[in-house]
Amino acid sequence: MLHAAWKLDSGGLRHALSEVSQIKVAVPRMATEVIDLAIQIHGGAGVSDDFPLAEAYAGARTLRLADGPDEVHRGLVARLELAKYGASR
Amino acid sequence: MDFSPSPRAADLAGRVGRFLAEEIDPAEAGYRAQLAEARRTGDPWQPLPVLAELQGKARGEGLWNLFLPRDHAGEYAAKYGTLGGEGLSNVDYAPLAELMGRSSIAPLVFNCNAPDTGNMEVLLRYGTQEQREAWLDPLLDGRIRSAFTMTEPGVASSDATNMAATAVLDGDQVVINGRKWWSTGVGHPDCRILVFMGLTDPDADRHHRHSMVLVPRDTPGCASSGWCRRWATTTSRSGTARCPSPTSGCRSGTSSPGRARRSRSRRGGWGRAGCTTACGSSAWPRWPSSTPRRRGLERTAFGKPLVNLGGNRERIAEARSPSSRPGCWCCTRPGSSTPAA
Repeated sequence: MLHAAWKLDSGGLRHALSEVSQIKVAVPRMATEVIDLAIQIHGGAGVSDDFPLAEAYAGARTLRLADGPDEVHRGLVARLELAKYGASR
Repeated sequence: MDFSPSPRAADLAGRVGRFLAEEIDPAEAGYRAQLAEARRTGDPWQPLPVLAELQGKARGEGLWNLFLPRDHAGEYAAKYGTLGGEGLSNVDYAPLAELMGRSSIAPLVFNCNAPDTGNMEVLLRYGTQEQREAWLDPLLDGRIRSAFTMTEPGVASSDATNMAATAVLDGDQVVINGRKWWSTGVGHPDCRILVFMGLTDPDADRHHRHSMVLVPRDTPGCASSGWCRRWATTTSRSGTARCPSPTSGCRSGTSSPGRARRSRSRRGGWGRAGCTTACGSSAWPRWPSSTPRRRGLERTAFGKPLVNLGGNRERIAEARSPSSRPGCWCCTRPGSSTPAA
């Protein structure tokens, strides 16, 4: 994440497209996994409104769709990677 | 490559961390209880007094508009009281956004919440003086809220070039027609401005068909037709709105016709990084993984603490390990003032 931030600072968005997409995929995915763990260990309480976990999970899961779904970002990462080897799309 | 925070960022991280611990954490349970009550009684959008109180305190300490970007904050950071009077680099802002991500209300408390931050950056970079005075100033002042209306129910909106709602120039007016949904924040009673992405030139190449238009929320014809329930819950935080219906008489765009992609992708760059850090969030692994740790130690089953059952130790270790945390782990040097934990 900080690497992406550093790339944005040092070269602007054009030079950080891949890194921004990488963290946009990695962070919500990681967050959903960890919140899922938290829900599981709380049992039924974890999916109740007595704890903020259910709402957090909904938010993190939603973020895998919002602002570009995972597939779009991963597609961009792959495209930029392949472009290094001459692929045009 | 240097990820270490500047002295100013380290100082701000200390202040934000303290504010979270001393002011926000103790208020959060009460906030959630009030919100649950507001949802039960039918007005989940009504701003809760505790938020305004916390915002006042944060602003009093200069912990306000910290998202403002170093390169184009201009005079705005000083004007609205950001401590230090200047915008921050992405590297300096990232740890602050991570801290804010610990709490569901912290981004709002520091006026660093989506979608307002992204919209403010669009106004900073592309707004005219008149547009900035009308919308950017009150947003930075926390007097109004905004929404970003792109996604549509009728098309696969993961492809932004699919958007079908139209924005047609008619003299000095722009006529808007279409239906949007998932417009975060549009239900907030203080929401006054929509950044609307509309089709302006269907015959242009796919990346020059759309433009962004500023639509005042009170424009005649701009209406919401109801609220989505997300996973059976209507949340004020995530604001799922179907909006707006046919609209006309908007004042002006933020980009020249056909240039929406540029504005959107710039919004998407910095905004997305901020969104990932704050809302995402790299800090979430911290608090949900701290709650099961605590609960897992306090509670027992089959004669053991929950943490000792069913591979939970491994899961906790996995959650705590660098491979699961793309955040600030590998970047913290010995002696650095930004803790990795």
